[in-house]
Amino acid sequence: METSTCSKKIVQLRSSDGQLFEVDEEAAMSSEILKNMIEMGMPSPLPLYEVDATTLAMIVESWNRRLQEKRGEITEAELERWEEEELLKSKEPDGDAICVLLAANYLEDEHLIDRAGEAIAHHIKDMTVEEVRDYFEIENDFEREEEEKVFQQNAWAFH
Amino acid sequence: MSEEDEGGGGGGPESDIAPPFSDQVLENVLESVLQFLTSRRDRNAASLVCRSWYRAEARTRRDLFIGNCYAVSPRRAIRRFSCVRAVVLKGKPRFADFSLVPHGWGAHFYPWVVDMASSYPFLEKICLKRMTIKDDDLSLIAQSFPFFKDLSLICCDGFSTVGLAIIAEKCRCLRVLDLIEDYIEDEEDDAVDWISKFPETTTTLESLVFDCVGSAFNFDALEALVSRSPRLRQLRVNHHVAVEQLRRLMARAPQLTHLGTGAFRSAFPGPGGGGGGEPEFDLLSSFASSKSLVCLSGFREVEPEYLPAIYPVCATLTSLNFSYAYLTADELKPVICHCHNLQTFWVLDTVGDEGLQAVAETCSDLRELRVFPLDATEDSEGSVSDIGLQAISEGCPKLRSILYFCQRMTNAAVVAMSKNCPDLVVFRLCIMGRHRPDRITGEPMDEGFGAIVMNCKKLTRLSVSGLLTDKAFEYIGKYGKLVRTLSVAFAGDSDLGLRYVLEGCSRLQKLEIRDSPFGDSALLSGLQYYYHMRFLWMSSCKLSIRGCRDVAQSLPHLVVEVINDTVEDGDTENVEKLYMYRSLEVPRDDMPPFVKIL
Repeated sequence: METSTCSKKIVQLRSSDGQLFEVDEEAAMSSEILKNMIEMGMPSPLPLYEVDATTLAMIVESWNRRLQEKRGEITEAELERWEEEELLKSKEPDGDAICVLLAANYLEDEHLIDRAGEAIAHHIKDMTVEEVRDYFEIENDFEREEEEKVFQQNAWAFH
Repeated sequence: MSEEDEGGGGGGPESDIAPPFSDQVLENVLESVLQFLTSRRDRNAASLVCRSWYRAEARTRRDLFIGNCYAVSPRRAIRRFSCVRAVVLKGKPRFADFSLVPHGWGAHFYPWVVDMASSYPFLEKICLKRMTIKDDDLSLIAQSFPFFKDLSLICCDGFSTVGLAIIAEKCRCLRVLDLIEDYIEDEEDDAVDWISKFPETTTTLESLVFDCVGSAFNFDALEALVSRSPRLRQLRVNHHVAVEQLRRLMARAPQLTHLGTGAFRSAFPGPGGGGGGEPEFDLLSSFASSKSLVCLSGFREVEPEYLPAIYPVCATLTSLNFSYAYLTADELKPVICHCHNLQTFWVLDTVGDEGLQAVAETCSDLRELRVFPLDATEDSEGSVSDIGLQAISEGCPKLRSILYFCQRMTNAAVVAMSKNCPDLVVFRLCIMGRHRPDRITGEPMDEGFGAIVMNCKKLTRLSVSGLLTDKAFEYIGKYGKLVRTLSVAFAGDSDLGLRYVLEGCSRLQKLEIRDSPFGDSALLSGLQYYYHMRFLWMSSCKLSIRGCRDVAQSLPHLVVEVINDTVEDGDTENVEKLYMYRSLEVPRDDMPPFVKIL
């Protein structure tokens, strides 16, 4: 590959479902996992076993935008707005924040973990217990008595 | 995950892929979500989702709120929540503020601080309300929590300037020391000059409130402290500071946003001040230089000629507390007419209806109003009435919270407020004369309070007074569905009143009643509700030991306390004071001799 005066190194990533992505190396360094792989000189394409193509596409775009912000091409406010409205779609019930959070956790991208975590927290704020379970598709594994005890403790002592 | 995968990718048949929220993955990410959940309602909900959420939430709860210190033991709280950084603890029932709870009743901080000292090394904040905290407890705080930053004590007692000195000296990261309406145990001569004990270095202080600490202190030390506290935003001093000294403090802390003046008069009695100059103009220049003041309070022993000094900041004030200032309407008007942005206003009833009319004319953004009585007895003159309330309702449509003491009221004014101020969340009307009817019609005040619960759909806190029949309570039970706190004084006709409330107010948490004709049958009608409430207080009602004992026997997790003013009173059938509350623990064993637990 030719290097130009502003050398732009590219890395190739492969999603869990086999799709290939080309990313600015600097952008990819947002992920600790990828940073380690790159520094160790692992060969391309770098495999991401737990991130599917759809999610990876969104994550890559978010890295590119962060790079743009770092370079002063967009403002911090613009980045935040994009993250909230496009990436995490915090205002929509079926938003992608959960996928992004899991992927960000796997990729060890602290910034995105925080952003996605916050978006999810904001979404489940004021939800009932049942609504939270539905949203995450979690089963209630409490014994009935156990659950009643926690409920009582919460209501009598900590509310 | 498509089926056209090349080999080597992690996708594959769906059965090989872990479900999105397998326990392992979830617990890893859960904390990144939970760290952003701060309200206790949300955290309590999160803890019930499933077992791993319960564990993760318990590990990550940083703010521990305990609404009744006797509802749970320190050990139980600490066992569940291991990483707490901030604790809020509430103790005595609110009627303690009206001297209805005898001294020594309980709510000791000691057992809490002892257990927290060994379990919460990273504790940063403690906020206590109506608890008894000793100097030794303060000392334990100072020596056990190296990262301690914020101490707020509200309506507490048991400590003295000795304890304050230890906090000042030893808590090196102190950010907030707020002492609000506490009873400080010092004898005037024994008081320690605790202000001088802050370390000589630059401090991290952001808030220092001590207007309730009555003893004198070294002013130069305070001035020096303020000079080396660049982050100080809130300073409320006691009455030992007069305007000449206030000026010096303001010069040292131009960045202050919240200022509590001490005595708003000259330190030197007599005209013109001792210095021969015109201190009121000097004070004016101090306020004129302030760019950031939004909240003013204090104004004790106010001399009205100093009031114009605050004009330069009036337009930016959002909060003004004149509740210690004896001002007439004529003295208030020239100040209030500048306060267009006021959201919170506390005042004495000496300003009269006319003063309140002036408030209504200017303060269209007002959210909270408190009008306190100069003379809180039944027969006092009292100079605010329905006229003032009506004016406020017309001028301040955004009102959310009102506390209003008066001698005379009409249903019409209360109804007007219910319609003009639909955002009301707190409505506390204290008609001080007992059983006073509508001043004009002679009717009971039922319709007024009825309108409040009917029209103010967000109402969560209500205090009623005046001549009230069972009808008023029927309204409250029927419409007050969001009411959490209800305070009743000298009201009601029969047991039916209490029944209406207990049966109707499904969200009721705190019920305090005094001098009302409710008896055993009313008490017993509420058995199915008492586990849903934080507490019930009833004093000077028509309760007997038998009725209270029946409740105690029916509800094993309810602690039923009968409180007498002296031990000798303890043998009568009649129950003067009842305080009952649900608890996860066995009844406390720290009660004084005048408390009997049934």
